[in-house]
Amino acid sequence: MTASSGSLRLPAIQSGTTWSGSSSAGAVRRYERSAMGSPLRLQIHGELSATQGEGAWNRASEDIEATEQALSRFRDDSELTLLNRAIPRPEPVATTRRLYRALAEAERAWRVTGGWFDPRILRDLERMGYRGVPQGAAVSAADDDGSDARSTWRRRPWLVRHPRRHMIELLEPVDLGGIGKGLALRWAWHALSLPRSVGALLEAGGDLVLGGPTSDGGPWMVGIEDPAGAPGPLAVTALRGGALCTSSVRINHWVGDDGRPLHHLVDPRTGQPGGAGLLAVSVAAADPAWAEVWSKTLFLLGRSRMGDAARRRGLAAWWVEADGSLHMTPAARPLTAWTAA
Amino acid sequence: VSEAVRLAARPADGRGRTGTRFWAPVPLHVVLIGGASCAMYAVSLAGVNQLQSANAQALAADRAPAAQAVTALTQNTDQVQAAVTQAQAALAKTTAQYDALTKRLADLESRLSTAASTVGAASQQASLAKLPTIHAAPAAAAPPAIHATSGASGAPLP
Repeated sequence: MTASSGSLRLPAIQSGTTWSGSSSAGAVRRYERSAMGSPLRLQIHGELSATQGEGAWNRASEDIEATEQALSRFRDDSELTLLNRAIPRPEPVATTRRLYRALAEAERAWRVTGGWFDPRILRDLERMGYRGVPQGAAVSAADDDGSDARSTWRRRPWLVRHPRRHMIELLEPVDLGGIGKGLALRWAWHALSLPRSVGALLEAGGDLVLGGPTSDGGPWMVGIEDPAGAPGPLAVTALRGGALCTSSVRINHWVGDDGRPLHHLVDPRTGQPGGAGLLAVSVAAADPAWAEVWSKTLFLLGRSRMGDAARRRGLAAWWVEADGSLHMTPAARPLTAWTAA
Repeated sequence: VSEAVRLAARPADGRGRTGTRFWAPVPLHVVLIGGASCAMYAVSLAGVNQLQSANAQALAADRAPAAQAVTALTQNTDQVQAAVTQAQAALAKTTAQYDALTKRLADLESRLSTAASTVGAASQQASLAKLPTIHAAPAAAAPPAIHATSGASGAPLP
């Protein structure tokens, strides 16, 4: 078997609750390192030589590293940091293809979600204390709670693109944290270039993308974390392919200067932490970037509105409300193999 | 003309040799005028006939669409009549089925009523039975083995 016999394509989300096959345990190779402030893990199921496995892992790691170097606001020399610091820039600037595609995808997510996914919340994150490296005067000096009405600001375009030469005009500083991780997983998944007979699961900080056969022939069993911190999962999903991403306040939360509890999922309408009545939202989708976008958007919609929005779009979503109860959409039920209690 | 010549050759008193009386001779121009009149009459009659024939043809051509429409209408009427006949047959069949279904529904309602009374009686008997007290709910089944967990981001590498 050779690693170049084919490449895994990003699969469509598929139910894996029913299957038939043998349970012959095949080889499982595991790799792990730190990336984007989180663990980066890769499992490869199937017959693959150590050299091929190492090669795939190195390709994915290098791709993640390149994405982080382009999109991170926690690196002093990242392309995004330099771009944010240069605002306001009077003329378009050439970017790498990676940053250009990330900004274009973020702008599309901003439009598709009606502004609920808004990368311009960087200012609010910094103001609330969730800081990376300094992002320039445009971030530290701006305060949208002043004369600039927030509703007007939300509708204001913030990116001008010139596709042919990867030229952009970034009008406001942005944070590509959430969608950046999803894009990193998308691109690293393609960089794996594994044979179709081999299955893989790539995980970065609670978001993951998977596809291909498992070593036991069954579906990929992926737990949904209990945001209250319990050791076991609240639910277990059975997936054949696609991505599963979670927006949760379990880790990134803190207490503000005024004593209020804060977290990193900011409502662009108010500039304050959103997701009233929710602790976590998980979304399964074909693509990790869009699973990330929808998990964050549904979280920000809050308990009262997210269920309808998810059902209307046919999203497979699980969410944990403030009382610890687990809920799911009709599209998520066929993908759910087990729930606690 | 030969008759006129023959008459002209008769005796002037109008009698033949056997004593038979002859008609008076007719002048040739009278005969010619009579012939011409007959010819003109024949020509006129032919013209009139031709005119009548043309009129009859035009009238027939004018009436042709109406005749065709009448024919088509007749055929349509026949089809409608056939459809009505079929609908009547279907209605009769449906009515018969509905009657049969009504009888079955009535029977089913009767059986449901009987079952409801039976269930009611069973419920009363069940409430009389003493069941053991459950002090703790059974524990949920353990989760299946998982390959990974999706959750909050930012967890440091252990």
